[in-house]
Amino acid sequence: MRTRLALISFATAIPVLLAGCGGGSDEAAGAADDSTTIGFLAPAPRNDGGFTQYALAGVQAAVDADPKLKLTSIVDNAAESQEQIEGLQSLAANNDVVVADGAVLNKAVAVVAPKYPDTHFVLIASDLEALAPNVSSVTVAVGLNAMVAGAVASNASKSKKIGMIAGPEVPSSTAWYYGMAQGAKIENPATSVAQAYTNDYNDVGKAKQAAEAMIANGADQILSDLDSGSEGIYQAADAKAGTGVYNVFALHCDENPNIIGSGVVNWSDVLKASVTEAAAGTLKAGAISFGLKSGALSFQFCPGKGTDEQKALAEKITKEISDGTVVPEKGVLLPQPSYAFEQR
Amino acid sequence: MKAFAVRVLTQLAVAAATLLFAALLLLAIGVSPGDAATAFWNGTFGSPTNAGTTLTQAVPLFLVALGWIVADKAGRMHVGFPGQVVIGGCAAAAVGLQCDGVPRVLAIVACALAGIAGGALWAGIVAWLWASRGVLEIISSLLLNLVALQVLAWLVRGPLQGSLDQQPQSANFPASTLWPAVESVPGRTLSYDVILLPLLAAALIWLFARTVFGFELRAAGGNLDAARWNGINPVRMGVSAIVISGGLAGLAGAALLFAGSAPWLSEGFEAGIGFNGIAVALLARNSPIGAIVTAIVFASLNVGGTSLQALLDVPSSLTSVLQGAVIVLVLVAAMLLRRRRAARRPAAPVTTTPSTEKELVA
Repeated sequence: MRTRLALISFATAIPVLLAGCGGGSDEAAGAADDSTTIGFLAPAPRNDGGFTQYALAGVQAAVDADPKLKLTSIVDNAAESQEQIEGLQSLAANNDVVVADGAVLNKAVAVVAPKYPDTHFVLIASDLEALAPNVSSVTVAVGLNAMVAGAVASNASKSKKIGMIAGPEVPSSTAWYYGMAQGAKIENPATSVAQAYTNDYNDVGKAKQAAEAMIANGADQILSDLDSGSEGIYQAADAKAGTGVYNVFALHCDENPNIIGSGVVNWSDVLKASVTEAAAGTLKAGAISFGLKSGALSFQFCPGKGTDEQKALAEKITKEISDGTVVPEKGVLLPQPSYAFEQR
Repeated sequence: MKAFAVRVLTQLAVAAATLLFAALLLLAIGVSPGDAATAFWNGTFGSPTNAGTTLTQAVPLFLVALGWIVADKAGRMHVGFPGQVVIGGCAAAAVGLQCDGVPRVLAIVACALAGIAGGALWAGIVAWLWASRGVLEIISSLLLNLVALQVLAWLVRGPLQGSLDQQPQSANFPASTLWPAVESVPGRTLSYDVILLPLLAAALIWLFARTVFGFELRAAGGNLDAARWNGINPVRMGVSAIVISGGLAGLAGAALLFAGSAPWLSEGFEAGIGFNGIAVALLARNSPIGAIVTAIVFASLNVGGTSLQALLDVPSSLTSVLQGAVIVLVLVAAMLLRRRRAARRPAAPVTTTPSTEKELVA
């Protein structure tokens, strides 16, 4: 028993001593030259074919445009809160700008940002949990794009039943549903819109099940707010002739012949602008929303898809939203925060 | 003495083989093993902050490992730790969110007890199904893990949802519920719950070696017939072991939430602790002392993996590959040692057939 107690003391004491007397410093060395270093963290894979990939492309575009910017570190697949905090800390200790790319990172950024006041955090697609002077949250008003997509899908639907499938049920996803519902109502008040959430942007099986269920209930136009999970919707659409599919963020016309178009969100341009401004020290703290006026959003048809009537409808709705003739209803826009807010 | 030396040499060989395997993997993806070793050390023990994070993360792993050891000593093999960690964490979070304004000591104790109760109750379902219906605990516990995940998904979107942005997360826990941390460590990353490492290891050794309950637990897990002849009820001991192991896993869930740096409930907060804890116990060969070391090794692999990715762009999946490699190599070493022992031992006499599960439950 005494030997065991001695072993326990030894096994515990060594690492605790390392914690208490660690020789290294917590302040890691930044870039030695006058360049501005950038770190990037995402909860999804960097090559997800969607949100993360486009955001990273935007950061890279900013780096390519300015030789003084360097993308030094990328942490992806950080799906769990503890892991996100550790990743953000590692990046913040070594970079001037840290991009936190995902709605689920708001709390992690709120924990880490105050510890690194000299680092500028750019939180993407989420509102700030707590405003800190070194954090900017950058969002896009996707619901406006969804209104156009909803009107087009309603026009294309024979059954007057359309649907939307997303990953987790969060405001940035429900905005697509509310936007589609308002847009469809403008085109035809009789059109009904279904919604389903798979809780995973990349789960093909769940997406296929959700799409099959919608199609069985009569939906013939489905919008996918998913990344690689969209493949499940394509498979379901292949099995039922006449089903149209709509994407978000970018055009994926080559992926499936049933794709009609996409509510394109130019995340790359949004990220490029944000990172460039953050590196220059001109990006304001608080929330910044990119809308139709900024050019960050647009509905685009795939080549050879969409009738002239649908294209004219998309143009008309876009114009009416931009000039304020059509006012977004509740749920279409993300809730406006109480702190500093800028609509672009 | 010679046997001890062989064991030590075997463990060193395993460590060397793991390092060699890691070096080859790193070279294959174009990363210098020397740079990786530096980044790994900096990320785990290179600074007080990172060392604190590593040690604090070792605690939940260690608690689950102890849960496995307790159940294993009683001859019960369940794999419900992920679910018990989740339910323990949910129960602790539910209590913690209501503790705003409650004195700190009371709030901390209430959260810890809620975690223990949650995990023990969840494990109690497994124990009840096994004891009263003869359902294999490995099956029921595995399936209950899936139920627990759905409960968590519902809670963070429903009753416990509290994120400003409507994310599937709870609100932040009140400051009074957070477990105290060492103030001198920057970032307060070293939680005082590391005290549980030596305390619980010593307590468990004492329980098994010096108490009647511990003896009965070991007897029930050793030889059922001998246990029965000595008036020990193996079913009662099995139920007790499963429930205690669930309580330890539930405490691990509370530790993850209240001692870590992410003081809120979210989906995925369990972070693989449930199954990794089993690996920690297996690598320690079910020794509570060994589990301290293996828990720290596993925690450093997790923490160091993030550092490797941030500094050298090493894929995060490499950490999982290394953890898998460690497990496989240790199992190979254990198998070789067993063969060596068996080869030296004289042939055993023919024994009676051991009791079956059905006989035990009946």
